[in-house]
Amino acid sequence: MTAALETEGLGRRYRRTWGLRDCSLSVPEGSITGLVGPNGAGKSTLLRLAAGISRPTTGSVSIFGQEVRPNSTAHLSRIGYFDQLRPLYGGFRVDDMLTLGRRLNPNWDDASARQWLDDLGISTKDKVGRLSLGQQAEVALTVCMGKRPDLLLLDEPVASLDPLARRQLLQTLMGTVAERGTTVFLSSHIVSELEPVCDYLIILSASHVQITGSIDSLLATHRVLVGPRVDGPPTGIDVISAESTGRQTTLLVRGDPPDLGPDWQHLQPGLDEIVLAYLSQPVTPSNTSLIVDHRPERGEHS
Amino acid sequence: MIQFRLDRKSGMPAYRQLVDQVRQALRLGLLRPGDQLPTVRDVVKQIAINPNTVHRAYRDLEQQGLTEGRPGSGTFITRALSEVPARQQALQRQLEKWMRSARDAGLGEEAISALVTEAMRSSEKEGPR
Amino acid sequence: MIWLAWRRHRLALIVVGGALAALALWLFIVAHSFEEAMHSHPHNGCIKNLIDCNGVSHGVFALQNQAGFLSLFLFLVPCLLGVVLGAPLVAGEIQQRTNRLAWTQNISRTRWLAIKWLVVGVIAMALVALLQILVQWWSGHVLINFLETGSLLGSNRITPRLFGVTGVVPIAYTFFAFALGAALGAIFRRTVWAVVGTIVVYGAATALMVFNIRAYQLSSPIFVQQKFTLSGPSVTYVPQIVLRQPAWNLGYSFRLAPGFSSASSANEIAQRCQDQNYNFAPYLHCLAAHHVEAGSFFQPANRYWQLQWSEAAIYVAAALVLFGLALWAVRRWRA
Repeated sequence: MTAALETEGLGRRYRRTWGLRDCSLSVPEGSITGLVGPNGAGKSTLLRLAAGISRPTTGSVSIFGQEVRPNSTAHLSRIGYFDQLRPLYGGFRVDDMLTLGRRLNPNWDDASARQWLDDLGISTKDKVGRLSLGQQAEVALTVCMGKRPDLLLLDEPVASLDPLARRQLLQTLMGTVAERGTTVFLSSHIVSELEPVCDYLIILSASHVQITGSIDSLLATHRVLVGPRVDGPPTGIDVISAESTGRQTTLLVRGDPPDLGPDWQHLQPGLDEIVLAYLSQPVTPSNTSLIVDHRPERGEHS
Repeated sequence: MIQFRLDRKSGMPAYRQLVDQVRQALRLGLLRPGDQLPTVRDVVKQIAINPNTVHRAYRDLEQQGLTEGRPGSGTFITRALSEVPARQQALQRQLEKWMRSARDAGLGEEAISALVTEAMRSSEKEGPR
Repeated sequence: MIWLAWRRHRLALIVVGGALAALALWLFIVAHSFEEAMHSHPHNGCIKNLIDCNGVSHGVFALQNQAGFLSLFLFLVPCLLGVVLGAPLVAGEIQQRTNRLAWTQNISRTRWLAIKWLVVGVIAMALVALLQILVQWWSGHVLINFLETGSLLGSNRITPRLFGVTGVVPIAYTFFAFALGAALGAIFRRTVWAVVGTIVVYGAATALMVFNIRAYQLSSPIFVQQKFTLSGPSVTYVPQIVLRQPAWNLGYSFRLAPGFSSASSANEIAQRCQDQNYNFAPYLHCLAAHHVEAGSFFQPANRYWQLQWSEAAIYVAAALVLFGLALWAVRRWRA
């Protein structure tokens, strides 16, 4: 199975700072992969590089095996890109946005696009500038998905949306993914948004990839150890983060922790705990470790 | 048709919740053999979760022998949980007995809850039989 | 993409079209008013011949002012169109980030820019062409007929004041200003800077064209030498240099007599002669000794259309080069 998106040593420098550095990852075809990290971590940079809007300073990015070169158009038919700023042409009506999609993309699925908007209660006669933030995001997503991409690149699709709009957008997205098996690569700085919808997670912080892996394996391979206070981390275990109060030390560790004794509690961390641990102590250059487990089959579409 | 819901705070994996909701519906007679489960697409459109999760839940149910997927038609319930109620009553009596022992040992609600949760987690690791 | 280019810019194009229509209407009204004024009081023709204009109604003077203002305002039209339509063409999209939407559709940046550029540029040129039909008539009917002194109809169009707003060059100017705005917008990526840059560069190009290229390069001007007669220390000369046909007087100047060459320019030699000789007669001797002729250069009016097409061709070529520049900047731009 080819990777839908693959990067190798990808980096992008803006004048003096690196927006992204040493990024090597692989997004499996048919998966829904989440990119999580704080603002400024490099998520938007990575997505723009994947879409071909930005050019790498170092390394390369490939879509379905084909390298994305400056001014190449081969990948454009296979991706749908959703920008963080959700730019739409202000003076247009929703209908005009659909016409835009139809005229610029040979594979455009007009019927589905209109159906999605209908389900969301957005009239095609509405002026785009007058829509609410959530509705604008939904229109932008419709334009993305209407061109029938094999890979969706979504930069913070549900950021600053109210809970109803968020759910509606994700419902539309998941419905389409269920139908078409589209690969999705979406970013967010809120873990709880990503957990129900993603198979894989990439944690990005300080312009470097901290860890990637399936959510199941991330949960399975990390433990929280709570015990009496220790001042140095115990040897032989991979400690991701350590916190001590007066009498107690809390460690988040990766891998099978050895038995430290009856004083120590072994707890299952939630996904947001794991992510927070990696974000609070980001490592640069990266200590990427790709945890690959067996990829769950999509199964038949029932 | 059954209506799924996802409890994000429960700590139980999403696919397990779906499986349990089907089993509960069977238990209560809301689902009967021959009924169709909603399509993966309809489920994710309703509760915005990864389609994979739904596939996994449906596969689980199929492995438990409760459902079968007919290509082109959908996923259908094949049998009821008829034998489970009897077992369930026995289990419930065992549980009540254990509860009394725990209280006699001086365990409070929180301690009992912690033990139960831990036991559920470790049994979940083993998987359903 | 043609649809998108039109839909995206249709408001600006309609506004520009409306403004030009309003301008055309104003031109028409002034022409009509002049017609009425002249027919009702033939004495009003005095403003053309600069004879005593006492007793003329002030309305005619007001019309004269309006006509004068309009003839100057027409100079600004191409630059304004260029700024309004060209500067935001690329810069506007980059500032609003809609380029991120457009460049991730199934279209190359080259095609995106080329079609946008052509659609807006061609429409802009067409609008100006329509205006020009009216202006051509108006310049003859109002400016020359009623205002310019001592000329045959259409014969003085070669003077800068009329040349730049008549004929086909305004269409070429518009194309150039538009292409300039688009290119600067693509390079600076800010509409405001593109506007300022367009005005500055367009102004400089106009000055270069009028005072150098059109005057001397496109077609060698005719030189009429000032006649002097020396008799001893006294000099007689004809004060006014004229060409016996309608023409554009480029001004008093010096040249080396045909067939002679020199290391210094004629103007430099004349300056040296002037510095070395305080009296007129020795100064003239000095000029003659160095084979420098004094006189005026003229571009005769019968070269009007030749100069028009040459100048238009230059501006169109420059516009195409500027398209290349804009394309380079667009393809190079990385968020």
